[in-house]
Amino acid sequence: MAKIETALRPMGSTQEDQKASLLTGIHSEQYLKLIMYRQLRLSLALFGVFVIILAGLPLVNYYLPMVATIRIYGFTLSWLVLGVLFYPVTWAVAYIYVKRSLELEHRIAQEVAQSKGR
Amino acid sequence: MTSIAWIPLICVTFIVLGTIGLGFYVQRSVRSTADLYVASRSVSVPMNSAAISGEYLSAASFMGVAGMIMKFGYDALWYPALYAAGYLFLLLFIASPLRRFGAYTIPDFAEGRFSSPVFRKIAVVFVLIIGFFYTMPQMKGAGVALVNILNTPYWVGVVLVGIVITLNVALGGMKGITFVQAFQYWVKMFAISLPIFILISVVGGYPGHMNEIAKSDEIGKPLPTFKEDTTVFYKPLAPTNEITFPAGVTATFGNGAEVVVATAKPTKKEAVPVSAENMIISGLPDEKYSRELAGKAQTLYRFSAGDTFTVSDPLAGVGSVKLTVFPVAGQESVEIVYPKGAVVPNAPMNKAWMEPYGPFTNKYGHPLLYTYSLILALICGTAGLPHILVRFYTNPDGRTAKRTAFWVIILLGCFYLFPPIWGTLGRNLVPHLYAVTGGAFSTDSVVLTLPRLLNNTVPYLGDLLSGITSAGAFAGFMTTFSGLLVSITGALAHDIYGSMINPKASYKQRLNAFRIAAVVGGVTAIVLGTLVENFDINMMVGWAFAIAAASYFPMLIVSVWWRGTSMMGAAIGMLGGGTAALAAIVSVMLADKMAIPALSVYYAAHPVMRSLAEQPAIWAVPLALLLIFVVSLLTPSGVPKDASYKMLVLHAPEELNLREEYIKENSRQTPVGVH
Repeated sequence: MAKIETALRPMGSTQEDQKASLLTGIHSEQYLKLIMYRQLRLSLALFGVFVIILAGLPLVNYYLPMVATIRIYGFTLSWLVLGVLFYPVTWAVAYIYVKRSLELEHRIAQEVAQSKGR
Repeated sequence: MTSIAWIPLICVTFIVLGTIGLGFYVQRSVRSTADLYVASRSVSVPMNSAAISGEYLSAASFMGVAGMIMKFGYDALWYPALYAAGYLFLLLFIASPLRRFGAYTIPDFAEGRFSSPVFRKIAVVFVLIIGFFYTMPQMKGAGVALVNILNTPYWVGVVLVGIVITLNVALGGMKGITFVQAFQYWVKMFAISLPIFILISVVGGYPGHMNEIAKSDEIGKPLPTFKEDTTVFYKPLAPTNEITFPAGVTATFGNGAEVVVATAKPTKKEAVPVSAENMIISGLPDEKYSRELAGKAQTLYRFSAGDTFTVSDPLAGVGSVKLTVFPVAGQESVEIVYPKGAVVPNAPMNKAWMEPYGPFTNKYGHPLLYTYSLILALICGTAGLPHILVRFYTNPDGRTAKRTAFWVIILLGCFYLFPPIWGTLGRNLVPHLYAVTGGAFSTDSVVLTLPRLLNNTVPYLGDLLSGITSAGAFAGFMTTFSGLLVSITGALAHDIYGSMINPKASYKQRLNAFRIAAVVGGVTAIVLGTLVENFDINMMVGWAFAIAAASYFPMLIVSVWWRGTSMMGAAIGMLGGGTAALAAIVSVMLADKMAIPALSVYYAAHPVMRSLAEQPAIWAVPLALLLIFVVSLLTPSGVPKDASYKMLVLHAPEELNLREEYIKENSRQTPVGVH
């Protein structure tokens, strides 16, 4: 689609030449793979926490009912995990992700800026 | 209830008028097409996160989750937890790439990513299918809530809420509803939390009530009982008129009934059938006749008004008994009178309620399969709901899209802590809601019914709190419906009119098209809403999630992360997964309504197939992904030539300034209004 290609051209006009040379660099296949890989690795690592909880809790409930039904203040352990403690875990994971991913993006931008300087 | 509940009525009127007023107020600042569709991409993080949360917390979340937890216990806790976790999944894998791409709607994304106008058409069809499927339960919720407050016919609520929201969307578009929805998130948060804090201060806390349920199990009173003499009305519609009585319960038919008697669990073929005399030990009436029901000949026993009956002897080992009741000639519904202290029918045992794999996930005997499929459907479904995804485009950039998704997770988590408390208190305090399944006075109405108990402590306090929860429920239908209507309208006006029929339309024409499309979409939703009175809210929400999980989600995740996706691959995967899930769900519905007797028999005999058809995500999502991979590898020429550029736009940090809006018409011609 033609619109996309025009949209990809950088904004601003003063450093047009510099940006054009920069674009050929960052448009390379390797560069794309690198930034995708770094972002995907971060997402997958944090998603792993959820895979463990969401895949593990049904198994614990099924095969270790004596653990799942331990009573804590009238709650079963399993209820406490899924109905109460689960939410703070989502908050923590979301917080770490947003912080790390914004850092990562900033780092990538700086690396591009440095390679441009060379 | 026969009279109008005045205090709730005032609260609901206030919220409805407030919504109209805000819509009109914001409408004055709408100046461009971008305002209508994406609020000029100028919505701040706190406003947008509250608006997304407000849009997401539908009638199903506000009333349905509390009701399901009361009804099924632990197993229903998966719903709120996964609604929240689904958002996290969206944040981790989809939110900011999608925003960086810059488009108004998901069909825009589909067309842009694959350089294919054909794909836009397929994507539009799914926006409309998922959108209309998801509006139906909202409409049903509105109708049911008004039955509770005004005692009006069901359709009045549907038409009223439909007209209010349609006008609101037609006048204010996305900009109007963003502000309204942010406001309504806080209405809902307030409405679900404040009454529960006041209730807890009077009736005791969450752990205390859990303890009570755990303890009463040990003493040997494993089921809730009626707190006072109660008359329950049963309309002759499945599943409302099917009542499961535990052994030993005694009750009275207030106005007579014609009754089909059966054991609650289907008996094995080779077992000797239990005789009706052993199921109703108080003696059967002499008058009986045979009638064909759902393709099977059944014996109906005719009880007279005032007949008292007792179901099976607890010591005889017959177990629970299912009665299907029909009113006698001249009556609209069957009245059953339960004495104070009688065990409530339909309620699960305390142990089954508190512990995993109870009556919900274990109903077909394959609880792990059912649970995992539910997990997949809800997580992937959240990540594929078009009206939620489109909201990410209202952020100024991908950075704010991430911060928004983070705050949405906080706001949703805070909200979802409360429905389990409602469900737990409901089980202990208003158990009579178990007595009828479906309809306006079942467990689904626990958030409206429970606060009224406080009328005994402080006069009118209960009515006031019930009014607050009614207003919250209304905010639920209204916000979700407006969000859906914006995405339906977007599909009709932007994707069909603006991009296919008349791409050169002027700003004025586009604005008119938006308003006409909003009215067309709204009227269609109202008509559909009046048709679904007899469907279960959660069943309809489940359809929308499973279809989204098997259609949009695979297409999005693959087009964001796999460069080699071809147009054919993405389109066939989305179509194949979506239609397979839809077909499975519709087959279950037809079997349940006994429309195809052979199908009902087949599902009854094959519980694994039944589980897989009722929760199709576990096979439909992998099927869609597999189709995408295989077809993409077979059609390498269908991979867009500039796929690398597009992947770069999706993934390169915005500091590099590579991004510009995909569609920018009109958005810069006029200065942006106030917000």
